[in-house]
Amino acid sequence: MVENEQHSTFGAIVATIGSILIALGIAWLIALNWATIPSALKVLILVLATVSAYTAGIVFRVNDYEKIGSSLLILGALLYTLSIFLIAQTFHLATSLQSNAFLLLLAWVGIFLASYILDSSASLIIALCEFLFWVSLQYFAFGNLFSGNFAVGVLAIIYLIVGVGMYGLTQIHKSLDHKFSGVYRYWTAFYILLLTYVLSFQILLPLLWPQGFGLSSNVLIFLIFIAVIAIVSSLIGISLSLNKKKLSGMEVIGFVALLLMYILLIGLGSLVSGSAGFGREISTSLWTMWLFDNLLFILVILSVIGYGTKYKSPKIVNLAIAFFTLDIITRYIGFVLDFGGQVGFAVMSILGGIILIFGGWGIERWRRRLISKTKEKTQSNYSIY
Amino acid sequence: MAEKSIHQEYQKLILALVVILGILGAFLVYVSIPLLSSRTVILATQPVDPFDLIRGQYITIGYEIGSIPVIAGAEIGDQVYVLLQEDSNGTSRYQFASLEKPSKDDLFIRGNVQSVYQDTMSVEYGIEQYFFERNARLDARNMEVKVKLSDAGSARIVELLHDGKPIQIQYEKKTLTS
Repeated sequence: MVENEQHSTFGAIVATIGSILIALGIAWLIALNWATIPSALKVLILVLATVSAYTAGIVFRVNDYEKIGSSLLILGALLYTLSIFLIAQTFHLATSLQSNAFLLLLAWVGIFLASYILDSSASLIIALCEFLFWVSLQYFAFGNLFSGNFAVGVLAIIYLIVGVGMYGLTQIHKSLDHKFSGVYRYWTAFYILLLTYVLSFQILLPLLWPQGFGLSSNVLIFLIFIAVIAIVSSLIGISLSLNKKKLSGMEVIGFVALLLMYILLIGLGSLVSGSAGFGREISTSLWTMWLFDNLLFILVILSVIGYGTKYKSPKIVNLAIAFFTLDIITRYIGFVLDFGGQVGFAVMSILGGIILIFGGWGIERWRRRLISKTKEKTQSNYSIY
Repeated sequence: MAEKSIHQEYQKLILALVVILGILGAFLVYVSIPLLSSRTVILATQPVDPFDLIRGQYITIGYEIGSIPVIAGAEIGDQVYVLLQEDSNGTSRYQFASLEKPSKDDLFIRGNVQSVYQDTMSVEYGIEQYFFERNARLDARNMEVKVKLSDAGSARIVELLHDGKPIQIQYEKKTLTS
């Protein structure tokens, strides 16, 4: 039985490689003649490829090739995104931030709806990846990134709001025993880590609320719009989960406390308001805030590991470890920049190298121990798939 | 998988494709609306160094109407309507601009204020880029752009013109080793 399964998996892999090779060959032939192909035909080719990928994904799924089916649904989602951008190119739409944000909006909304219809976690992950780019780009567009009226604090608030929304969606799906709860839990952890990572940069803290910054009406409406959705979804999700006894009161208190702390932290950024620049004098208040944010980042990473362990999700634990590694590399680069000069750079390189080698070994050991501990508790019921 | 379940899976697939193709179709209609209009104008471009024009797979076009006299009360991000008047050569040029939408009988184009500096403001109309394939060669000197305008003033590029004739874009022939 196991042998048969292995053979069928091997056969499926060979077949997938074959279909990818055929697709690559056709794509190459099309690419050679791309300039001479009429625009309408180009769009038709991509639309047909999208439909084929989705259809093949479902055909594989109904034939019990779940993983290959998921891969093809991801391919379909990406081809759909490409179709939108190709149509925009064909009609010479502007390359402005707003124009690209609009295209991404069409892309993630379509994939998001398709992922619910097809009950596909893989497709939902693509939609949420595109959503992350969209929500950032939409703020850049509304805030006129290139006109200098840009505050990192607003971006931090947006990530916080989206994190709250993701937490609400996690609770809604958990109360319904829906498999997407694992996906939303992963993304809740991602947004909290991303937000804390943004706040851990010394150079970005004075830009949280830069001098002379004014909130435009577009940005304000955008913030209110996403905040209302996030708050409503989190209230519904929390009450549903509490009613079904799938959420503890302690976790809700922890969630609200975390939320209030971030609001306070982002607000306090106005105390170190200034402008960007390397090698400037660092005020005591800025240094204190930076130190606090970095300690907080470590605490948040540890909390996310605890959260991942509690919900038996190795993927969330891996995510937290990835951010921890990112933190070490980022701070190391920061120290190299701060302790400038050739001797300083050499000393920091040697010291950093030693720390990274031993740190890398230690992190990997730590990660493996955590993963095995997580798996030991029970077989994973919650994963991002 | 049970037959009923397989049937449901295919029903879901059809529904998902309807949603995705519906969004693509609606987007296609949205971007095509100005092209269905009978209003065609030819816009003059500002002289630019053709060597600086090409950015990857598109050229950025600077229009004569891209920089116009400032309107009282106009701010960055505002929509403006630029009324056009055709000259003796058939090129449509700036007549005046307004924050109010003109009547349907007027020839106008809709844009967004990008910056305001002293007595001029820069306006973008969503037609500042023209895409083509890599390895293309074109003469961008004295270029004009043929544009279609919808009733609401939104614009789409139809073609690039040089001395009133369509610009021929030359593509380098690709080989299997290119």
